[in-house]
Amino acid sequence: MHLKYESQLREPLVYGEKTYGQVTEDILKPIERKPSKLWYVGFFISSALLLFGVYSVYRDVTYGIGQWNLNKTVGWGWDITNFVWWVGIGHAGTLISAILLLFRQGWRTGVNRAAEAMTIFAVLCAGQFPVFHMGRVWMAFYTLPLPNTRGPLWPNFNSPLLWDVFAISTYLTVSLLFWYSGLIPDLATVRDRAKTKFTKLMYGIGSFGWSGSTKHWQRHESLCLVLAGLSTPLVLSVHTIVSFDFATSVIPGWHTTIFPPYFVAGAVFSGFAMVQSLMLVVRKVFGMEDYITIGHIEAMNKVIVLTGSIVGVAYLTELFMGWYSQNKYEGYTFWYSRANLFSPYGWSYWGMMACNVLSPQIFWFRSMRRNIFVTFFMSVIVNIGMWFERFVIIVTSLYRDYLPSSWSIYYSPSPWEIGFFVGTFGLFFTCFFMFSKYAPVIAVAEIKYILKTSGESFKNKITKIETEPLDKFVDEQKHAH
Amino acid sequence: MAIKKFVVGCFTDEKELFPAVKTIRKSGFKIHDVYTPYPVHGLDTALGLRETSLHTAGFIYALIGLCTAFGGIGWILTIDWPQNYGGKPHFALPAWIPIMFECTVLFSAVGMVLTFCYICQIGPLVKKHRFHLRATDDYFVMVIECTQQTNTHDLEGLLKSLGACETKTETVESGWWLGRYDLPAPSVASAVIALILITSLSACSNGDAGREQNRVYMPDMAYSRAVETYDDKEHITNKGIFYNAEPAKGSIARGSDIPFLIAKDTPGSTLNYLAAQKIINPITSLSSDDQEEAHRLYLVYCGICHGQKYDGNGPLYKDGSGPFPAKPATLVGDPKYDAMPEGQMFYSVTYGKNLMGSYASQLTTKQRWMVIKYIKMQQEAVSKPQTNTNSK
Repeated sequence: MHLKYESQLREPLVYGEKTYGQVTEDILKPIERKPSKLWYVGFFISSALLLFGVYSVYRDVTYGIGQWNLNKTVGWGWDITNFVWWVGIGHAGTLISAILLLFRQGWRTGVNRAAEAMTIFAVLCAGQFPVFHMGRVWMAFYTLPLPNTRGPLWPNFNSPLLWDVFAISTYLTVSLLFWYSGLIPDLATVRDRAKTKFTKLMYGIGSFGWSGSTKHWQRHESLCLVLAGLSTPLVLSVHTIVSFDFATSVIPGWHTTIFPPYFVAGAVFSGFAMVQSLMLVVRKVFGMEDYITIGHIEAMNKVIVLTGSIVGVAYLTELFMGWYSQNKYEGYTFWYSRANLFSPYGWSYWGMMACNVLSPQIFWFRSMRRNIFVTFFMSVIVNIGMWFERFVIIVTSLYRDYLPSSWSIYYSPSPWEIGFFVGTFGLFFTCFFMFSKYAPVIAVAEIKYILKTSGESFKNKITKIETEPLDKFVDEQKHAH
Repeated sequence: MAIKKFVVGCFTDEKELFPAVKTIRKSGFKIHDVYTPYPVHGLDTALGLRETSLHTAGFIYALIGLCTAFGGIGWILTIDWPQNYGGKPHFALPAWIPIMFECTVLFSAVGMVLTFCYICQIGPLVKKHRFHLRATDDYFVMVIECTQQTNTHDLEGLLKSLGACETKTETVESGWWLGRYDLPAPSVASAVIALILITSLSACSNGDAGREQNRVYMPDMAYSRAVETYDDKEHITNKGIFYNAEPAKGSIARGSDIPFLIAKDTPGSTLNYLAAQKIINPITSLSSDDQEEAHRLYLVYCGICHGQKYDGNGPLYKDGSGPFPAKPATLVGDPKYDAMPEGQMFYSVTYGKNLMGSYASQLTTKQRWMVIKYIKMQQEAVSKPQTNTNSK
């Protein structure tokens, strides 16, 4: 799968003169040691947020979603905004693990494990919102086409909301399978190095009795490749289907064919920003600068500026069509409700424009792409901007609908609505802290796999060979095994 | 179980591993397996292993998923539950594509992972024999199966000369935990699959037993938290819900008349009586049928006092010989009553005036206005020809 020779123009993917043993040692360090104080602080903060979220949701379930400040026109507010936002974040993980695998991008190995974990946790968070939006959450199983004696009563398979149920649950399942099958060999590594009986037992269960047999590796590779091939259209389909929730309706500002590509680009955009935020912290806290290098950060910043610009083009296209279509309702939504800074929600539109379109342009400069502080700052800005995007799409299209008598003056979330969102942050980070403590945050086997072709020591060796006469090099390559 | 003997050689680099594999195979030894910390490319061909067909299994599962989704949705929406969604066709294939695609992916992924676990004979709680613990760390561990004739000492020497950093001889009881490919499916996995099948089947075939539950584990909508339509207001108040069960102030039921909002005067006051002057009769004209009805109502309820001829001389008064002590009002011909606004007349009929009682319970709002209109028409009929003669 890999070239035996890689250009010197490419930066090494792993810094330092590493041996296989050293790689294991470095990456498993956080698992085998006691967590730092910082880890405990972070873990307790996120657990506290999670508990607050649980309480908010408890109120929602007990008293109904009247606890949220949704009103007669804004029937989808923070909940669906957050749902779309979290699903979008998940997309980067699958993009890195699947699409970049198919494109043979070696740099994905440094970040794919954590990014996939992020995907799973983000989709878990996203799933909460539509489920609790149902109000009677104990009826959630009605969305599943289970054989039943209720009539029979089946869900409407022609509805985009049911497509969503299938898309999100499939996405979660496949991501989980992909992630876990990659994790099995690494958990086996932890198991074989474990000192205590308990760790041995737990990782023994988790690693499925993996032994590293050649045949197993062959099948494992085949499995990962096909899962990557399946995940690639899947990841594109998921946000496409999420965008259908809006695009198949007749609400001005939603009823557009540009939505699927625009949503997918936005999803990748926000997802990469979240990967940046997490990876910058992980490499610092766990001392993994040799594996998650500046080169990795730069590559991801390139994706951010690309997808950010695609999203920008989509915004401008929408504005153009709002005028060009000469449709009164579209024009009103785009030019009076959104692009007009002095309309009630003008601030959110221009906040979105500033965060998503203007500020990422800074990454056209190499020095900015390779600057850790700029990258971290921008990753936060981009995620705020993407949240605004979903908010703009949902609320500014709804709050002034076809019937002016029902226009709501303002929609602002209730504490429990915010609490639910904060709670999903708690869930996300609690899961991520647990993951970073109990599983290798970098795919150990995959790093070892690229070590010989893309490691710094190998690059040095190749440089030496390149200074030798060509005939000798060709001769050597011919006779290598 | 047979006891097998193995010679184990550990290498630290794939560069030494490949020539070693070649040499060992050429020397006629049977390599049981090579355990590596990461997928070493070309090793499978060097060991003479055939290409895996796991991806074919994945394709088959994908087809199953596609067919399941298409068949399931098709059957549900055209045969079992043909609903009319906005007049669209029941067989709406384009709208099924998203779910058909998702099911294709789901079936393929889940099926492949399960197949992978099954053919590799791995799974939670499965423990396999490991020849060297560093095989998952940094060693490439070659394991050679010995026969009766094998001289293990010589073989270890050969491995050492090929670059092995560590060699040893191990005897292991043969079984599936060695991870041999030609072994039949392990009984453990079969047992697990059988168990899953039996449980899922028995869960389905519960018959009527499930209907006679003592315990409701998922009550669907049996106990609604919502306010029931005709629930007692007190129950709702006790639940802590503010709900007065009354329509909003000023609302008028569909099809009903505009209510007369002026209340009855307190004794001694005429404030509301005077205020009633401003109320306009919602009935502006009477059809001949209505006139007939109004006349009938007048005779039944009013005429007994006010007289058939509207002269206040009904059977109950009869020029003072009737049981009624005071003379009822002369409705037609008396300027006081000719000029009286209809709203005020309505007040009197509704609440009563002087000795006359309330007729609100005998006549509906509409009937009262009808009767009043009828009286006004009679008044006009008498007064109008007069004005006409005056002008002439």
